[in-house]
Amino acid sequence: MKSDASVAPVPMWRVVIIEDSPEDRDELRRLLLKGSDRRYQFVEAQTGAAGVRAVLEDPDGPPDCVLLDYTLPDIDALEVLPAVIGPDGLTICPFVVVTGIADMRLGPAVLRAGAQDFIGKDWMTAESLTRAIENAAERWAMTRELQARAAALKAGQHQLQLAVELAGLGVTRIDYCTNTVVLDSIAAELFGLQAGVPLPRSAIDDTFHPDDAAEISRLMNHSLDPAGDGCFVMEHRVVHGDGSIRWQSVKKQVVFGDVGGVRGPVAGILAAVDITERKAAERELARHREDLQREVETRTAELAASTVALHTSERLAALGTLAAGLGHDIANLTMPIRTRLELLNAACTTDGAREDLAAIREALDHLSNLSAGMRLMAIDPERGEASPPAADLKLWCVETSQIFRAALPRQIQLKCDVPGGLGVNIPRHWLAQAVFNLVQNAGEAMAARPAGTVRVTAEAATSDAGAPVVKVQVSDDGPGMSAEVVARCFEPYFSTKGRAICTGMGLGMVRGIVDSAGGTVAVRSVPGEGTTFTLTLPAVVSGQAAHANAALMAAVTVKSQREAALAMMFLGQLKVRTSRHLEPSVPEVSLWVVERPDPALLRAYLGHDRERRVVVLDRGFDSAASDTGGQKPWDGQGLNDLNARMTVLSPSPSPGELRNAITQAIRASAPTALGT
Amino acid sequence: MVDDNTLAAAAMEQYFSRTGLLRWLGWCPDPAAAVQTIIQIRPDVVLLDVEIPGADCFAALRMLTDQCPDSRVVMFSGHTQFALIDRAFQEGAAGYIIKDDPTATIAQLLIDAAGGECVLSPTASASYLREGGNSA
Repeated sequence: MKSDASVAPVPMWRVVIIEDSPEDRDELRRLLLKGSDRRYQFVEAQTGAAGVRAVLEDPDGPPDCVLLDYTLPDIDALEVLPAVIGPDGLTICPFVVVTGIADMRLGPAVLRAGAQDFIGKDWMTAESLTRAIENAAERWAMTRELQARAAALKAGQHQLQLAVELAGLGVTRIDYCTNTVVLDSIAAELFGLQAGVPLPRSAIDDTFHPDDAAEISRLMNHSLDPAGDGCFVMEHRVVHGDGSIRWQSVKKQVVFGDVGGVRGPVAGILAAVDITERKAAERELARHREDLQREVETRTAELAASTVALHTSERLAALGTLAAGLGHDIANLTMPIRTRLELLNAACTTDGAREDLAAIREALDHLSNLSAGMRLMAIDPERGEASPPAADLKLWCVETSQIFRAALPRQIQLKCDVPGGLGVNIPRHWLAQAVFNLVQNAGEAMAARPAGTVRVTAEAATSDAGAPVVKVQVSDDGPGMSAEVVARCFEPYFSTKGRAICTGMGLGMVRGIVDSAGGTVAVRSVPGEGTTFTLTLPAVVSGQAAHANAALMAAVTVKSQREAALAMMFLGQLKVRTSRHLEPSVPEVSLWVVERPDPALLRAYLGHDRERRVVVLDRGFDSAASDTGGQKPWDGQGLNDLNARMTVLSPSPSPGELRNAITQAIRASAPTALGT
Repeated sequence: MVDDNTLAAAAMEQYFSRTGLLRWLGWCPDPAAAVQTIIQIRPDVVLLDVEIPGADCFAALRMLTDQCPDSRVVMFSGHTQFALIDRAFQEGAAGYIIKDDPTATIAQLLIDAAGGECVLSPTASASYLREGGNSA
């Protein structure tokens, strides 16, 4: 068909006629062609089966309409129609059933079977037939449209349902007219109520947590106000029947309508989701944030304190270096002053001059002690070996009392009461620094008073284990410390003072020193009476060598200066007189520290007196050979029986080895000579 | 005497010249220069400072004990540390005197050293022997 562009194209319909009577077919064709100026293309079939085939198998697709005779040779219309119904329950194209039977009851049956219209042969006209197929087509199109929309709606509903389920949303439908609610399964779980059945509205209200009830009520009333937007949004708690509490995020939308002539709430949809875990997580997070904040504050404070402590230590270190330098310089100066004083003393002739010199000498001694004390204070407390033990406490006290006095306020007196004969086995600078600290603390405690006394005393005692100890005490008659301060005073960084250089480490350091020395520190304080710190330290067992040893004499002849010096010093400590010459005839006990003993001399010496002993440092001696029973250089010279009275040491023995050998030899030969 | 402390050296010189206990030959603040002089004049005893800034006193000690064994070298120090004393003796010193000692003691120790003895200040001996015992 050609269509003219200036004229609307004449519509053409394809129509299938399923009619066995040729006359009827002609009549149908004639009526249709007459009924409109539409053009038609007709396909005709004479049997039901052929008609179905023509409709279903047309290569151009289903026709625009089908005219179907009710009565056909093989089957009737009620059997044809089911064959042409598509999967959507609609015929695949519009069907109009033409019936000759004058039975009006057929109509509804035919429509139910799926036809869109029916028409009676008796009363059909061109117009009515044309109208019938046009209506049928329209109805068919509308039905199809409706079905598509219904399907789309269903699909949409299905998706929505899925989405709601995935989101964990519980949906509750509210009917404000009957005041009932219906909860879906998720909503039922959230509220702890029954699903699917109408429940009174109060059932939901009863689940509200009492603490939230007031706010819920307020927002609820707002949402029921027809003048508002009908929205209710809130996060609140609900209480289940078993007492458990859950958090919900709830959104409700109220639909308003006419209720008895007045606008009011009609229905509502409530969507709720459980946020209990989220709330818990939020609380957790807030707590963590607080903890972190506190942590940061603590660390910052600690850092600030450390920085202060660091600066203080740096200042202390700088001062320490200065003090050490000063001490050294002062010592360098006191030596020439002392020497000149001695010369002056020798040269002076008048008593007055002598007195003056004595006074200068005394002042110089003070200065010497001060500088010695300063140097002791400046020694790094970490280094225990940097000074010798305070083997003579009285002497130590003389030296350090100057510096202790310097640490006290002017009006506070220092009294040192340290008897002689006491020694402690702790490096002098440690003891000085510890006692200095205690004296300084005492002084500061009494700084505000018009007068006071700090005492430093020492006495011998015995520890619980029976070991000899010395108790060094620093006591004051100041205000004393409360029990609480006493309990905490040794804590590092604890301080009750605001000194310019204050680390709060003073007593901590004292304890550290005392611990390192193997002693203990104790404090006793009575508020209003005073405080006493007691350092219990291991005593030095001083050489008990009595003057009886004047009788002992040893000969030391060693080429090595070092061993000679050592041997002489050991013997000197043991109060044994020494001589560098070998004398076979020496009274009492003789001890040789000999490098290369001449066998003849050895025999003569040892043979002369059964008590004699010899310590040999033989450079030609092979200690390995001796260990395996090898021969000594003087073997075979008649000295075998004397081997027991010879101690042979490897060359260059350590000072300890040498001392032990000498001490043993002396003990062996003169057991009582050395006392204990 | 080898020492950078001019006042001390002058005082010692005066002391010995007035008391006549020892014949004073001289003093020098620089150990390296002193070694040369000492080798030439060969004193009986040398008093050598243990610590002079910018100089190696122990090197001087070694040189002297090597090249001048008849001169007894006694170290002079403000410290009583075991390590220093032991090192001094190891490297050939004939003695170790502490600067704090009374001058009379210092003089006597020098005289003893000149006579061939090994000397050690009483103040140092206690610690030296104790520490030495501990290092056995």
